[in-house]
Amino acid sequence: MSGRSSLVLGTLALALALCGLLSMGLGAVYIRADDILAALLGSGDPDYRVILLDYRLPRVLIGILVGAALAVAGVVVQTLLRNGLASPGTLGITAGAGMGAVLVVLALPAALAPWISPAAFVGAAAVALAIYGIAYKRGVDPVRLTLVGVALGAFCGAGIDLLLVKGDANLATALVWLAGSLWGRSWAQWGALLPWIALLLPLVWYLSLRLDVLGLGQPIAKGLGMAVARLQFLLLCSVIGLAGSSVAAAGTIGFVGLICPHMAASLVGRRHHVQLPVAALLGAIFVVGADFLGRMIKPPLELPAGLIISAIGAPYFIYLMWRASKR
Amino acid sequence: MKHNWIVLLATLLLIAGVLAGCGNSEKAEGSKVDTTNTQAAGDAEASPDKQEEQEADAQDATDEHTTRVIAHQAGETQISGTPERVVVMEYGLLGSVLALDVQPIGYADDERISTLEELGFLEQMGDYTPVGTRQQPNLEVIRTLKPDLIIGDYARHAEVYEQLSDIAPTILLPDTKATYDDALDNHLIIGEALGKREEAEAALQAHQQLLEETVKLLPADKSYAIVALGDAVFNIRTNNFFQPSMLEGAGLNYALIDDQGETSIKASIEQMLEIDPDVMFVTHPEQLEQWEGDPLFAQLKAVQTEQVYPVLHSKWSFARSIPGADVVLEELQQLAPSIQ
Repeated sequence: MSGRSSLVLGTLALALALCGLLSMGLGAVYIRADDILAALLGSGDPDYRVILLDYRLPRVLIGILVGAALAVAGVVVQTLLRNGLASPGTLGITAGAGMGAVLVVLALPAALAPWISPAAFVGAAAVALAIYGIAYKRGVDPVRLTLVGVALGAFCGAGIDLLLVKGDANLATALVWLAGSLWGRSWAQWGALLPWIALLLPLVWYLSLRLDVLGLGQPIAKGLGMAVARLQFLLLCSVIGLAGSSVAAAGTIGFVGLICPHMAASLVGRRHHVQLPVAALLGAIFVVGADFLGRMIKPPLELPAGLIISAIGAPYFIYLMWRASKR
Repeated sequence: MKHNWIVLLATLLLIAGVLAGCGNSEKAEGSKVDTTNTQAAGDAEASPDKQEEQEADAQDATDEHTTRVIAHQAGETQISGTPERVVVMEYGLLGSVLALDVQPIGYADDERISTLEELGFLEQMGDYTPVGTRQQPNLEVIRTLKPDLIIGDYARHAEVYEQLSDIAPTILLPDTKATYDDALDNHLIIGEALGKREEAEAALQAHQQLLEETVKLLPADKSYAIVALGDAVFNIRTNNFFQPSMLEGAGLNYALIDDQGETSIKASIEQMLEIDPDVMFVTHPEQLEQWEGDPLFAQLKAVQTEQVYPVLHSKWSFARSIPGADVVLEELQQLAPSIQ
């Protein structure tokens, strides 16, 4: 790893630590530094202890995991589809999660709360696998996968809209909950998220070299003796696991999977073994920082992190396109 | 290079998807209200509360020890004594709480007091601490208020029911799409939770009497409709909507019956002419001026006989509670002499 990469990684890690500390220390309820210390050491106001350890800390940790997972999934999807405009949403993850959430609310209106997350994950996985299945024709052509993904995603979106127009208020709420926010998230979501991320992030990083080769195009990858179809399927499953579990935990936070790969590439280039960790750190900073901003812009109002990221991400994305078009 | 157009198409579709994604985000807006330090507000509240507590003790010593189990949409909750530090998180529920003479210490006002003002809630509320939006109420602030009862909307707050229950006994009731029957139940449940069951029952009886009286004042041979005026469409409330279902249940001839369970139907002026109610109550009356220039609008029976009554959207569409319904009924009584 070159000196520049280490420098970038170090700086980003520092920035993430700073974001995390700020998020822990500040909130709608002001807690003095000595009270924070007392609460962390077990003495002091029990309410402060709950606020710090059960409200703020899980949000920061979930934000880190979600951001890292979405950014890494974004890098993988963009390489897999060989399209810089792709994101986990292109593989139907977003629409599938929404569909799963809506269907479970229709089926189990009474047991609403605990089932939305798993249903969102199952929905994301089902739709992504369906897209892969439909696009499969003696191997998967990236362009066909993209088109099928966009088409099926739009189909699911229309289905969700139809159910929302017809359905009761709880449906809309299920989707609001999925709309990309760390509000109200607790250790339960962290527990559900951690195993996926802890398993899949190292796996994807281990596949860095293969991702590099796949990025050269299928004919070259095949010519170099790679089992392209198998690798594609493995990568697709990783994306489902990473993005699906993130969406199930924190909702559909857009743009992270879209722009972090580009930012990482412009910082350290497109060799995956450095691009992946840099993108992961960027994603984590984005989500934790956006959640912090959302809480601090106008307390006690809580603006969803997804909204903040869209507000920052959309202009950046347009800038990226403008720059690409000038080349 | 023959696949170039496919790549282009895929790219365009992606951009469309991305842009559609941006549109989904919630809009948050608001006017600045009370930025009091929540802790200070909590402390300041503490002393008058103690006084009230003593008064309550003197009044009814047994009440302090009564423990009751309240069944509500999210489960069952045990409440003992008379709750005095109540946090409320939706308009209709707030209406019931205020009508039972309880001032909440916290309300999720979305930082928008104009609606509270219009509904007449603001002056009844006294000092309260804003706890954020109804969609995402701020758990930190709610916890430091040290409430002894939290009343929330099932549709909005079921996801955080456990976290709320960890702060204080929490009851979740239907509000966002509450039917008239839901509202009747809500009022009784809130009365029970606040230790004011008799008052709540009395209010229901008074309400039912008011409803009967009001409907008697209105001509029975006419058809009625509540319509939210839009730019180019009419949002006609069906008989399933809160206010219409109340009036229809009391024997009024409501103009739009829907057995699919829809609460509201979008109609063009042509469809409106087909329904053609004798009497129309219109919300968003600022749109009337524009409609009055429309020759088809002038053909409506209600327009020709001057039976179009402008009313406030907040009162005739929000405020899905018994006290909110009473406000509508009182306005109806005032309008009754001119309704023919």
